[in-house]
Amino acid sequence: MERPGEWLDRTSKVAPEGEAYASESRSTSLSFRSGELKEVKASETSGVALRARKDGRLGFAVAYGPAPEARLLANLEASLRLGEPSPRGFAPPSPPTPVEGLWDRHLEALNTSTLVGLGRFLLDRLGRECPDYVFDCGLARTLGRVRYANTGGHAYEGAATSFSLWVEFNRPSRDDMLLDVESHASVGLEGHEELVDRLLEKLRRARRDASLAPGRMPVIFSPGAAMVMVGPLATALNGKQVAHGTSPLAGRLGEKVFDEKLTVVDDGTLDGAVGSGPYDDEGLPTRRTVLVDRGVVRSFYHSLETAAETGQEPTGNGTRAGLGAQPSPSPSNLLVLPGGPTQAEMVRAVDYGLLVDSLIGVGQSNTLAGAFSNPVGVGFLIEKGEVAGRVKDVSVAGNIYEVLAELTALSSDVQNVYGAYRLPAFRVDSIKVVG
Amino acid sequence: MRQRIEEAIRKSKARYTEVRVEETSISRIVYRGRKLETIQATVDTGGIVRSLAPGGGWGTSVFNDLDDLPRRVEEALDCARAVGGRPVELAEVPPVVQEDRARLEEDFRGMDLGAKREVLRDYNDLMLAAGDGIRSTLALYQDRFQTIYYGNSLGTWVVEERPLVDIYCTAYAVVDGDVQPASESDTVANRGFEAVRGREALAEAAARRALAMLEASPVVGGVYPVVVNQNLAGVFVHEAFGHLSESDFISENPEAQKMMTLGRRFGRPILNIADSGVEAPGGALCGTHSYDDEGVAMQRTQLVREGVLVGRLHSRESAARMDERPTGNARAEDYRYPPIVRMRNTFVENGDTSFEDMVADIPLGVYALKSRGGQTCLGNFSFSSAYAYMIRDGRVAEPVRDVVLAGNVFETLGKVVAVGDDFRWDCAGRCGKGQGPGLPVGMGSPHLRIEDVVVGGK
Repeated sequence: MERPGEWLDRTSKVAPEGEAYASESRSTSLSFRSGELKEVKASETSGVALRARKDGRLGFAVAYGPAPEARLLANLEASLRLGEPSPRGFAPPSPPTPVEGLWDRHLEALNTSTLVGLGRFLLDRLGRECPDYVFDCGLARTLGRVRYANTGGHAYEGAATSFSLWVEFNRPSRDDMLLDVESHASVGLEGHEELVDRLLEKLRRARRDASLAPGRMPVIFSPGAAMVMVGPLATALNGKQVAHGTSPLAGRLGEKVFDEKLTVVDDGTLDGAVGSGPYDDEGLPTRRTVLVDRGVVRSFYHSLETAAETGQEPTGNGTRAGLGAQPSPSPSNLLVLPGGPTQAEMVRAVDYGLLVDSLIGVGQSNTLAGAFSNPVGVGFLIEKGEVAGRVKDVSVAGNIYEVLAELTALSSDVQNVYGAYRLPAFRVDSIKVVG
Repeated sequence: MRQRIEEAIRKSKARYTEVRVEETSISRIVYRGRKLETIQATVDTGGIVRSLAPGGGWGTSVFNDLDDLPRRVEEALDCARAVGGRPVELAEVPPVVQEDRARLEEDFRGMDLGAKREVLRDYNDLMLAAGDGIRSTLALYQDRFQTIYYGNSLGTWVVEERPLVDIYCTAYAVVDGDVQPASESDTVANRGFEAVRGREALAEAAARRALAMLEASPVVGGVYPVVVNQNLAGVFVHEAFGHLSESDFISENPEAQKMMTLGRRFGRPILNIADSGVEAPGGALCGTHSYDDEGVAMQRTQLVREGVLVGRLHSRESAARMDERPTGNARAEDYRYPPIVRMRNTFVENGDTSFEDMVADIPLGVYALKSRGGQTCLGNFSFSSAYAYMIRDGRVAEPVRDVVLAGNVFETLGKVVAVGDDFRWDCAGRCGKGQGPGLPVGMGSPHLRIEDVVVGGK
């Protein structure tokens, strides 16, 4: 793995201020198709990203693999010469945020055959209980390390393990295909059985078909389906959208925009969570930031750059979307705080309505404006407090600035979805279901 | 390089071994609003080894350091041994030896970054100057020059240079909390920087449309006859039908095979669909190459002829499993991923209906243009169009927004009642299929008219 300190010696020939970020990842991943193991893949990749600052200008260059020194420095110089003036420097030295449980020794020690055994065990259980479905599945164990240093005297090393699991199920028939994916990510192996439990419940519910009379009705979004609303909300809270005036929430700090049941928190300090760490990807300590407090917009999440641009406080959310990208605001762990009833109680409270488990095409509408319109992938009719069967060919549409202004309930039980989002189920009564 | 790779393959104890090494250089410039967000150059070198043990499936090793190659060949075999089970068979193909070099008119590799920045800045400035409603922009330029070295234990050796240029213009119009983004982009293979010059129309169209969408009303949801333009039709056929033709899925799923039985009628006799890696050779289509990433010669594969399913897309493995011929569709995004069955340039063949005739007898319908995104869960699809108009009394009328088309592909292809006479390759883009950032593919179609489409909306 590259040593950032050595790179700083080299960048100092190019510019007085510099920063080096090196990362290394070793992973083992398996893929099963139709219940059968198809591939075992071992991967070991590394790289280094350099930034430098001279006369107020910022330069950036990246190399994956063993870095060719002369080329990398020449690229950095070219970038530096053309970069526009940037007032901000690099992160000052600061103590790390104390976060526990990011390296799972059990996962680190896991060998390939144990991982294969785990995959087979999960698929056996699924196949036994649902022989009429076909299952594809992937498991991956990743060990990641980063090293950071800048000329301001700040340096650190970080390491984290992660385990991910996805299961795709399908049941084709001549003109209809029930197909969906459930996924899971965690620091160690914890919690992955819940994916299988959740999946089995869904497949049992899908055994029966039901038809639903379209119209306005109570709609319960599972934590996974709730991303259709939380995704656009997270975009609107992104400091970069705010800095460029493209967020509908820009300029609305302190305003009550949403239902008072809605509290949204970004938290990079949670022990044992995949989105946590002692620092963000540009060397700022992570923190907990209340973004929406009981419906009132309280803060946005920022990188150093967007904080400087908006005159707001940095929040430790500077994230590199891969080595090849400069730090940009991204949520660490994004939590919607839970509400009162359990998901089961929420279903029992509905006389006639729709339970949406997944949607097709999430994120493809004009999410900046908050609009969504999506066919339901997997959804169920709720009748007299019971799940009556799977409904097909219905869709939901709305705008989050109307829908999230009036929430009927959030569930008390939450689920990790899309990696580092921790969401309850949402009940909304203002949506029209189209059939 | 050839000697190194061939020697590593020769020493492998596996039943089958293949090595792909890539050397890539990328430059990327992004403006956001008035600000230059990044100007950067990246070098990326890495490789992948795949092998088959006497029994079982694939063992794969991904790495950056080429000095590790002999060790990675052993690691791939260790992985293959861990797979076990019934052996994967590969359809036979002849070994080939070929080296293709790209010839670029204005080679972007030697160009000064500053000269590239100036061209992009001009486009960005055009968007910013288009009107008071334009609050921000995103202008992106990226060039990538990739050299692929591929060898396998059949004796195949292929070198291919794959240059690719992206230009992307998005304008954001904002009024009173309403945000309307509009994008125009192009992805061009086998061309130099000349592909980026003179593209002011992209910037102008993006800005003009963002402003126009502020004025447009959301579409009233319902079931309509819909006319889709070349871009949206191309993406629709790629997403809703093309993915069903990828045989890695159906080859191991008997029920799905029944669903995709050759000879099944999918549409009216006017409907012809193909996927091809040989269209416009040497041209700018990003799905055209000499060989796929298993060293199989690319070809044109007819998928639907006169409405009837006649073919599908294969890797060597899926072809062997279904006892069909490989089609040259095993493609990988980069060295981090093994090749899987992917589309190349997917298109609807030209028909004979003029646009005027297509809309003439529609009393109330939707004319949907340009894809903003699409997703398919095999049978079911959802597409959003970047902009649209109502059709009233046979004429294109007022603009509408937030048009999302949804349906079931088996029903919808059967409802394609007219195929236009105005074929265009449009929408070169990236296709995501559970791997990385996306694989360059081409798409094309004439205008299509589809009956009874569910249009989401308020």
